[in-house]
Amino acid sequence: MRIPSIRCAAVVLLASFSFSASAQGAATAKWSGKGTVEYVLTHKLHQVVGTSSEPEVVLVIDDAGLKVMARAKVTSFKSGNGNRDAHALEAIDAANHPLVVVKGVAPGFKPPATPGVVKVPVKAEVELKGVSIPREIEVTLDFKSPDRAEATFSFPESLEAHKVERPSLMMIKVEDALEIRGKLALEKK
Amino acid sequence: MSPNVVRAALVLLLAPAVAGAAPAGEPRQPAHLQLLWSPDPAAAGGADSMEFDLFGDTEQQKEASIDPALAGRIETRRTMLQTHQILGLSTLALMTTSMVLGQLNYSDVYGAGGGRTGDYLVAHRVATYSSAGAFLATATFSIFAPVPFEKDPGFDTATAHKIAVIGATAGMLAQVGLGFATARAADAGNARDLKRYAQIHQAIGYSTVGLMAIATSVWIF
Repeated sequence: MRIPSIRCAAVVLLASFSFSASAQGAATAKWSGKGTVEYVLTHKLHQVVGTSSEPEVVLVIDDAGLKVMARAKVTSFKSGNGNRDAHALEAIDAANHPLVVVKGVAPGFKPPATPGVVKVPVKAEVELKGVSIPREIEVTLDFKSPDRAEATFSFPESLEAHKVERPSLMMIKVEDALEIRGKLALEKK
Repeated sequence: MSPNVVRAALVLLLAPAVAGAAPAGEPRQPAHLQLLWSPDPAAAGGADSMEFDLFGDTEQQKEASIDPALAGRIETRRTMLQTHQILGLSTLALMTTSMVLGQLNYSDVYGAGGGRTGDYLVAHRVATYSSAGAFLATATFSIFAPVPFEKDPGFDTATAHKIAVIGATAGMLAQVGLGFATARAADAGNARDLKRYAQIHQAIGYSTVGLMAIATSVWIF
């Protein structure tokens, strides 16, 4: 008699676990977005802004928090000078590393119940030229509605950290530090 | 009922369903079992783990986007254009030297207070021949560099550079032609033509150096 009662209890428990699991599944929200990402590169003689309007981004918000992954083809960045862009692609070895990828997590993140702006510290990893570097990025999420948000971010990056040989102009190398910034419109799927 | 009893019960309950579900030799890991056993994300690899791919790309898809042949062409282009840059700046320096020596020579030979010594003649000639050689070498490294990426059409600094370089090339060729004409005039003892050719040579020389300076400096913008 003891074993069937344990089984009964287990069945009830399993059912409740399954419900809980499906409820968790329902709580998992997947967002995707589009927008622009830019790099700002500084040389003693001038400043270069390269823009990509083809970044892809996927966000998952669940009970664990927020996970985000964004990527852009390195060939999609345009600085207004085709020759310079070709040089940049050479410097970052675009043939072997065609994507720049950013992954990040914000454990425990919960979207606000009402529309509003939230600053989210994201523990991220930036991959360029096949080299991943950890970065702390603050992302500003402006929740316009329950299924629409806008993300903006800006963070410093280093070329040499990614083993990128700094291109030179007039025998003067560009600065190692560059700024990465972006603005993305997100939609819940 | 303690959690351990519940877990044991779940294992007992699920064991028959799990058995035989996985092919022989493969680990039996039904996804829902893992979820039941590890509801805490920290225990399931850590909430701050970066081991995820939200795009779900396979390794095959990742490898398909890599082009090793392109990498070789990029490397060749990079080396050739870096050499082009060094040679270009050297050419500009040599052309400026030629221009200065040419002006000194002109003032000496044709100027009002010139000593007619011909002191700068050889130096100017050496500088101009060196400039022409460096100019040709610079052009070679640019013309024969592979073009691994398609460029967007439109006017940019590279277009301005090319226009200025085409102008400078025309100037260089004109100077060679003028050189022959001037030599003939000198051989014929035609002093009037000689001075006129020297003036044209001077004007073209300044223009050529100017165009070369433009070709070099447009990269700043």
